Amino acid sequence: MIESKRSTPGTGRGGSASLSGGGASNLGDILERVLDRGVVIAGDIRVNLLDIELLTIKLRLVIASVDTAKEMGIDWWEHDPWLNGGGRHLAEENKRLRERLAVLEEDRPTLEARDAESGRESQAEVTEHGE
Amino acid sequence: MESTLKTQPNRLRLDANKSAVERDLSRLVLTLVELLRQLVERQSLRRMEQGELSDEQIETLGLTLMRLDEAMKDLCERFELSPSDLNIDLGPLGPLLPRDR
Amino acid sequence: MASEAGTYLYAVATDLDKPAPTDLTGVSGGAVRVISHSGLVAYVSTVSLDEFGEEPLRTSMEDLDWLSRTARTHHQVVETVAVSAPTAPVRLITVYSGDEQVEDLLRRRREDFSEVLARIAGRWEWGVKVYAEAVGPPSSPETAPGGGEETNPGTAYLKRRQASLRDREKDRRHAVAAADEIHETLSAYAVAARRHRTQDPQLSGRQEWMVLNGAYLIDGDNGEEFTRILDGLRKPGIQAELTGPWVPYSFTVTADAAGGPDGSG
Repeated sequence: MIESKRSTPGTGRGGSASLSGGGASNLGDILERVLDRGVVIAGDIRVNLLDIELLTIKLRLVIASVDTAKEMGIDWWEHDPWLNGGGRHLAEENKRLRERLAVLEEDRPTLEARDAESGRESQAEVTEHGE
Repeated sequence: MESTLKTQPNRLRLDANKSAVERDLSRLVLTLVELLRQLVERQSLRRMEQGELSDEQIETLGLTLMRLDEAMKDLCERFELSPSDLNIDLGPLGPLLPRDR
Repeated sequence: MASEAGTYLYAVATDLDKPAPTDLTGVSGGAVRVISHSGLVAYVSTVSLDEFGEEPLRTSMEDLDWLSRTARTHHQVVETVAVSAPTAPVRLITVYSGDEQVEDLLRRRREDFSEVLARIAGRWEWGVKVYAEAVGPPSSPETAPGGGEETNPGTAYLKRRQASLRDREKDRRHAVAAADEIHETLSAYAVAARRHRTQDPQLSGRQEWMVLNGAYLIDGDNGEEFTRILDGLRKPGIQAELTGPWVPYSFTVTADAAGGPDGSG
């Protein structure tokens, strides 16, 4: 389908007060122009955003949302079977670690044996403390 | 969660626009998942074209990708997103995903 | 904290010794005034630094409501003053500590501004956006398993994806080539041309993929001819959208800020 959309009749020189239809103009078009084009002069008020691009603004809006998302109850990905593979893995890993820790704490000989295996440094330290 | 928002004044602006925030966030997360899905799909197709995969491997990959595609469609529907919403303009680098997946 | 004032600059225009606008309202409600110097006139209004200081701006720039309100007002002022004299719009939110600083700017940058204004005098900017139409979804009805492929639905799925990706790549090349051709033809007619980054669908408000976001500087009398040329370039599979005439936002970048020659065609 061929389609032509124009925000104003092509008046060329624009005799009215508004060239491109003022309020009728697409906001995206206006933002694009006033932010990305025109004369760039460093004013006295430092707007570090002088070279800001539309993309940056949009991405910031999206990214700022992430912080609040969980507070707002958007946590479906934690329950979605397609997306929570990593979470399940972490939970299992956690469980394994807890079990191992319990064993280590209850069983001193096991701890010392593991230390002796796993590195000379800890052994040396133990020895120093011992003497 | 509502109350948490109320106690933090700097969150109020977002609260006023809650549905937009939800949408943006869903969009961001789904975009990342879709990116991964497409990467795996491309890789699978490439390897299939190069004859590196057995028929059985092709079938398994195809089934997996198909199910993931269906899951993505369901999620998109649930959040009223269209496939083209799952894209971010990276400016000079172009869109994150190819258009019209 | 005392509320300090700043001078917000909208545009710099050739001073044709016309009366200052009387009923033009600027950002945050201030009346638009003029500062004349060196044959140039700057359109400004007084703003409170409570709103336009560094700190408040940091947050308000991210407030899309505030930003769009400010952008529209800024644009409205620019458009209104551009009707009577060649006008170079200044980028949104350029704030000085006082009128003297703006005067100083006009003095220091007189040559830059004069050069820019001479280039755009009597000319307007037209925007052309070209979209590739979304390809029909011939593969989606088949997405559900079935159709005689029950034995190997996964393989059938991959094959379908392969075919659809190839089709899409073909469509993409076609659309990009069409956009290049349109830009080339329009550039040849225009006084100057620029190809801007394409907008994403969220900004353009359209689902189709934008393949060209061009700006063309056209002599005041040639707007209709330009429109006709564009109409002649329309073809199936793409949509061309024309906006304008705009104040030449895309062609008022001064040399030291642009970092490159003005216009690509």
